[in-house]
This record gives sequence, structure tokens and C-alpha cells, in this order.
Amino acid sequence: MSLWVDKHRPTNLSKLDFHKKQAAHLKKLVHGGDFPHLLVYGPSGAGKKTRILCLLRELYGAGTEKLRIEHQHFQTPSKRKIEIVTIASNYHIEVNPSDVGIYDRVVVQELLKTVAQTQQLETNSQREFKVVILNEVDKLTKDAQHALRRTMEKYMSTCRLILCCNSSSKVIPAIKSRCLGVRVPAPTVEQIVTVLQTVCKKESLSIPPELAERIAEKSNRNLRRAILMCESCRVQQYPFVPDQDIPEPDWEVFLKETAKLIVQEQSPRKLFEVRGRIYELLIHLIPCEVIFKGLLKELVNNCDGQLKGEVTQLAAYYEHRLQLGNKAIYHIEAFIAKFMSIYKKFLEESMADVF
Amino acid sequence: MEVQKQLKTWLKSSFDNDFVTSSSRKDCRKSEYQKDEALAKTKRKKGIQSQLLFGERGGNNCVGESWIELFAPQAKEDLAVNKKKVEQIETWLIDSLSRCKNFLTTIKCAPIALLTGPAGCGKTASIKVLAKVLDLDMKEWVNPVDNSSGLFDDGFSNNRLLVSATTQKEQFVDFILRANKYSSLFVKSTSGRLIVVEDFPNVFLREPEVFHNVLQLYSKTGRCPAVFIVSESGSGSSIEHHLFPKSLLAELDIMQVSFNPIAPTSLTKAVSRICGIAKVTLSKSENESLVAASNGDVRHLINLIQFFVKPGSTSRISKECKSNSFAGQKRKKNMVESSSSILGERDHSLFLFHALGKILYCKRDSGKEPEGQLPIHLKDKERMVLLSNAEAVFSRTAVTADTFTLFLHHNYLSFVNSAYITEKCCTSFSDANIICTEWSGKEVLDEYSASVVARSLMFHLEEDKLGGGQFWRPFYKPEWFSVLKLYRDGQAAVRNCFKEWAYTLDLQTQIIPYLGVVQPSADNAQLEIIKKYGRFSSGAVRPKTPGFHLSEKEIFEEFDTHSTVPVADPNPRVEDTVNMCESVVPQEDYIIEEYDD
Repeated sequence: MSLWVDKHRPTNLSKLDFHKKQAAHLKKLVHGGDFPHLLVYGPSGAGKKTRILCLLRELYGAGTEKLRIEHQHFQTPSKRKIEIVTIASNYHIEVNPSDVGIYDRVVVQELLKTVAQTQQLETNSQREFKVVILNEVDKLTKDAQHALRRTMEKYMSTCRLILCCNSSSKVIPAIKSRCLGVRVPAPTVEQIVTVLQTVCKKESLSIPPELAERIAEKSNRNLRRAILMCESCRVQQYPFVPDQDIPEPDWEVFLKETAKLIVQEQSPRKLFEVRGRIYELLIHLIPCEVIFKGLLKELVNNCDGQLKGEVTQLAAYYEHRLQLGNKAIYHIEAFIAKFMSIYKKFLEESMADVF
Repeated sequence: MEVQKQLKTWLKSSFDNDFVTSSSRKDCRKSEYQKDEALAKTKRKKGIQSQLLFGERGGNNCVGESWIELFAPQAKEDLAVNKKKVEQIETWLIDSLSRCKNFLTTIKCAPIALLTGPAGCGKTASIKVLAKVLDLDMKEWVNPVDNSSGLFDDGFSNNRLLVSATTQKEQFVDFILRANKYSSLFVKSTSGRLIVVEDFPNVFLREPEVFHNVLQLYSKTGRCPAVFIVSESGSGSSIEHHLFPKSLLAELDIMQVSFNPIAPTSLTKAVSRICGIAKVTLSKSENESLVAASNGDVRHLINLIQFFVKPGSTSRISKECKSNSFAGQKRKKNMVESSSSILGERDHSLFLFHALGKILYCKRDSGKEPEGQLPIHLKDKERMVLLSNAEAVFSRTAVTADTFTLFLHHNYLSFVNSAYITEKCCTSFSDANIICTEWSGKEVLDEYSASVVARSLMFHLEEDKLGGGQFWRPFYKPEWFSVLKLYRDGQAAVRNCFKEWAYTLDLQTQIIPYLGVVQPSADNAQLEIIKKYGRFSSGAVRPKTPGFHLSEKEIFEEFDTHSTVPVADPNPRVEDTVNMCESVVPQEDYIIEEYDD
């Protein structure tokens, strides 16, 4: 048995549940015979990957679903051996170059070179190019992105790139201008509700519309999350009740508690405790950016309207620094300390006003 | 040739019953010390005479002679070391010797002592003097230059082949176990034997466990006291912690004596003693500046005197003999001034523990008025003069700016009480980190970043009245490195287990937590990962302790923070065909085939 998310993933461009107009455009693009490099971006759980897979199927037929996992080995200029996992079919290869950290440039260059240098055998029945899917392009180092720019042009005749990322803001303009940008926006709550209902129908379950709506609301318009939530609801309690408990990931609960601690007391001692909790989150593999985002969301919810703007600005400032720097804890902590100080000052002032 | 051969057979037969078989000859080494001493004595006599007679040009064999050997202390009174320490070692020596005499009845484990202290504080000198006073046969281990050096080379090439080279480790074991059994042939009977090890074979630094085993073996079989001497330093890996962990000290009943840098008064005495022997006169100011420059290091002090007295090719003694002109005196004065800058103070490093204390307790000189008055509106920024310079403190620790800031970061919170000051300190860490992000200027800016943090902490902590040095707080080691390592290892593990998902980010934040709830038929490894990383209650990965204490003389070894390569797959190069159809869609048209290229 597999997850519903994978089980009920549409495999055909015409079967997609939302953004149908865009799907039609993509279809036209494929039937035009050729297409440029693509940059697919959008929030997580919006269906980028689904769209890419559908596109591949449209291009090459069912052959793209015969997948194999390979370990590729590369050597860096400093003679360091690196290994990366790729998922490939006969027509495409998918890789997440940011897996190897700072050595991503080598992977991007070498992998593209090897793929692009092998020609397709039967050009009349197949396309004359292969497709390389690069995931998490926004996490690539600047070095790798610049290397990519050159490689993209060089192997244009034999290979097409599909770049996939959450935010196009971290992709250098040189790459953006060489690709056709495809933005996949997050589905609306109503769209999620319909998808949930179709999924439940396929599983021959009946879901009360109220519950579907609650799940959709709680999923932050992330379809993957919504389906996962729905499935875990099913595990916890069936038949569904409209007001049943929707499980949240443990780390989110933990992060919320952490935010509460910050609001409760503003002191160095508390800060030390919070630091410990951030380390705990990191050890549970929650990336720093996610922690930052989650904290901001909770803190803003907890503070007064006039502070919201200031806190958000601070968060943006320190998030930027987190990206620049190499020790995330300094910046997260600086943000928390700043918040504590602002919040404390605000509390003291409002107390003074009362008396 | 004949004699050598005879010697060889004779030697071999005598050690046949020994349980350590080796062809190398150790007892030569045993006598080294005695020979050295005899040589030194003659040299000493000759050297002093010739030097006094002819300056340095006269004595041909004393040109390279170091005064350290020449004026080595001969009696207990000559030692500049604290009297109590010397007594402590002496009583231990006498006690252990008497215990060793009737070892069959009383002794449980062989007496071992460990002397630690900074370089040049008289550890070796005290042992040598005591050995002389108590009339002990002292055997010192010297690392062999070459593995085959202990072999007899009788000129026949085939004989050479027969002799197998022994490792340094074997030689050391051989030495330490044999030296305490057999007395030297070259020395008349003495009241006892003493083994001294100052030079540790390099192998042991890499594999301290081997050394521990040797010690345990010695403790069981040894029949004479053994003394191990370790110089501690602020940089490099600490031998003391590696080779003599606390548990071993307790287990083998090792007596540890830690020496301190020598006090200025004892140093002044040493200077006058040496000057007396060498017939050199130094003025009081010269004397003081030399003592100050040596930083409690006798060896350095004697070197300084020797160097100071004979600058360049012209000897000062001869000059004084020739003339006492005005020009000469002027030159002398210049020499004194320059001596502290050119000969230089000894670079003494600071232990991380002390460095942290200097920054965080930030003592200020309350007597002195700050230079330059600040205008009224900046009065609250005014601070007393600092006792220690932040940059100097940092440069004397042997850690990188990164580590230094991390240590400060991990420990400063217990020195602050107000949230407002925390905020100010905290932002400085963020600033410091931003300064040194640019790769090209990292080397230079690293120091600045440490300076930014240290200065800002010193400045702001003063504002917090309770912050400065009222009570003692323990220091802890930063967790960041271990957290980072766990994070990376975890990522690699997750990637290994869930190869079919290309997105790591969503995998960690969304799929794994929910898989924990849904739990489809995942394999065992996946279930384990889910349990470990998805749950906060069950998967307590981080140790619950508040952190590891930083002990006073500990040296922090830095991690390789830049290795981002995931841990190697336990079974690499397996063209594994993961059951995508099972995990994706169970339909007929999803065919998985073996991949062959």
C-alpha cells in the first residue's frame, strides 16, 4: 500500500484537477514538437512535480514511468569523491544537485555533459532530445547556477532542462531569461476540497464536506499536506466525523510551543531554553528557513497589531542574514532576542499607560 | 668484527628468556644518560674555563654550547621550582623506592607519576636533580630516529635481511618493560632505578588505547618508579588528556604533579646564580626586563641571558674587559630596551577557558579614569579602562575566530540578566557572522569578527550591573557543531532511505511526520527513520544534558565543518531497482526492469 499522495497522482495532462488552462498550454507546447528549457516554480504542494511528470508522459509516452534509481559518482577538482542518487528513465533523468552541498557545480556540469553527449537512438520515432529535471534549483550555489547557464546553451541540441523550485527569486536572472517560466500557483481552498472528495471517492470513503473544508483550511493551501492530513484522519478515525481532530506534524506543534515560550517570558534564561529547542528542531531535520518562517507566523499571531509590521520587517532582515551567513543559530537567536526586547518594551509601556 | 659478533651472541643469550623478543639493543640507551652527564661535566668545566679565558672564540667545543646544559641545577637548592613541589616528588620517590624494594609483599601496582606543566617550568630538571640526590640510575626513553637504528650492522648484507625491523611501539614496550628489570652494566650499583619518559612515540598519540594497555601492563609488572613528563600548551592536541585520562589516573594510582610557571622572585634568584657562575654582571633593570620577558619559563630565561650577553659576534664580556667606554654603555642601554622587543617575550598562549573568562567577566580598572571625556549625551556609553585587550586575548588562544565566537555565544547568556542587553549582544553575533561571509576576505575579517563579538560583549555586559564577575559560572562547550553534524547525518540517512522522493525539503517537513501517523508498509529502515526524526517524544536524538563542561586546561579540537558530502552509502554501487510501482501506483503498466548498461 502506498500513500494516497502517490497513488492518486494524475498521470495525464488532461486529467489534472486544477489550473486546467495552464495544462492545455503545456499540451500545446509539447505538440508543437519542441520546447525550450522550462523553469517551473511555485509553492510546495501546488503540483509542480505532477505537472512535470505529466508533461514527460505526453512527450515520450508510458516509457517515462519505467524508473530506475542510480548512484552516480563524480570527482571534484579537489579529488574528492561524491555520490548522488538520480532517478531516471530511458528518456529523462531527475536529480537534486543540492544534495551534495557545495559540490553541486560538479554534479550539474558533469551530469549534463554525460546525458547530453549520448544521442537518442531512433530519432524518427522519438524526440531528438532528452530531458534533465533539476530539483530545488533555488538551493543551488551561485557557482553552480553560473555553470548551469553556460552548459544550458552548449547542449541545447540534445537535451532540455526542466528546473523546478519554490521561489524564482533565488535563481539568477541569467538562468531565468534562458527558460520559459511556468508558475504553478497554490490551489485554492475550494480546489483542495474537490480534490479531497475525489480522492476519498476513489478510496470508496465518504468524507463530510465540513471536514474536507477544515482540512483544506488547515493545509495552508498545500495539496500534498491536505491529502496526507486526510489520510492520517482516516487512520485515526473512520467513519469521519465533521469535527474530528486533524493531526499536525509533531515539529509544528513543537514550534508553536516554542513561540509560546518566547511570548510568555522575555529573559536571557528563556532565550537559552529556546536555543535548546531550536537545536532540537534542527536535529529533527527541520531546515532553518522553515523554523524561521514558522516562528514568525506564530509570533505575529501573538502580538499586538502595531508590532506586527516591525516584527515582520525584523524577520525579513534576519532571514536575509541567515542566507548570507553560515551559522544560522546566530541569526535566529538575534531575531528572537530582538522580538523579546520589542515585546517587553511594548508590554512595559502599555502597563505604564494603564496606571 | 669478532668482538661485535661475540657481543651480539652474548646479548641474545642473556635475553632469551625474556618474553619480549627483539633484536634491538635497548641497554645502550640506558647508559646514554650517564654518558651524557659525564660528557656534560667535562664540557662544563672546559666550557666555563675556556669561555672565561678566551671569550667565545677561544673554546672550540663550546661555541654551540647552550647555557641550559652548562648551568643546569646541580642541587635541590639550585632549582627554581617551588620547594613544596620538589618535596612532594621527593617523598613520593623515596616512598615508592622503599615499596619497590620489597615489592613481593607490599606493592600492588608499580608507582607511576605524571608531571605536567607549561614548558620550561623545571619538570625535567627537578627529576634529574632528585635522581642525582637520591643516587638513582635514571633511564630515559628517547625516540629512536630510525627504526633500524638499534640493529647491529656487521657489514654483511645478508645478515641485515635476517633482522626484522621493529616498530617504535614495540621498541617502547620493550624498553619500559625491560628497563625496570635489568640494571645497567656500565654503572656501579646505585640505590635504585628510575624510568623517565618525556618523549612519547608518535604512535600513541594516534592510538592512546595502546599506550593505556602498556601502562596497565607496566603497572602490573614494573618494579621501579616511572615518571612521565608532559608539557602542556595552549595549542595543538593535548597529550595529557589523550594519554592520561582521568579514569586511568585513578585506576593505576598515578600521582599527578602539575607545575606552575615559575614565580619572578625565583627567576631573579636563578639569574643571579647563573650570573655568579658565568661571572657576568647584569644591572637590576636588565635583570627585571629579562625575568619579565621570560614569562615564568626558566629555559627561555637562560637562553635570553646567553643571547643577551653575547649579541651577534661581539661578546659583551670581552667588551667589558676591553673598555668601559661611554659608547659601550649607551649600546648596552639600547640593548636592554630592544631586548624585550627583539628577543621578544615568550609567546604564551592562553587556555580557552581563561580566554572566555577574560572576555565574559571583563574586569575593568576601577582606579583609572577613562581617557578622554565623552560629551554629556553619551555619558551612559562611558566605561572604565579594560584590564585586558580583547584582540590580545583572542590572538593568544589557539582557536579560530569561528570557534571562539561559538564558545562566547554558548556561554554569554548566563552573564546577562536583562532582555534588552541580550538583544544588543545577540545582534553583535549576527553582525560578526555577516562580516566574514565573503569568502575572499575571510582570513582577515575572521579576526575582526571575533573582535566585534568580544568588544561588544565587554561593552554591553558592563551595563548589566549584575553581569560582571560576581559569582562563578561553569563554561560549556557549544552544541552547534554536534547539532550540525547530526543534522547532516540525518539528512544523508533520510536521503538513503527514501530514494524515490527527489525533494528533500518536503520529505522532511511533510511526508515523514505524516508517514509516522499513516504508517504504510514501509521497510524497517524507513520505519526507524520515521520514528527517529518524525516524532519529538520518542526520538530524543539530542542529549538531554545541558552540555559538556569545558574544563580549565582543555583544548578544543575543531570539527571539519565544511564537509557536506553525505555519509557513504553502506552498499554503494547497487543498481537497485526500488519498487516504484509499489510506492507509486499498483497498476500493470508500471513495469520495473533491471537496469543494465
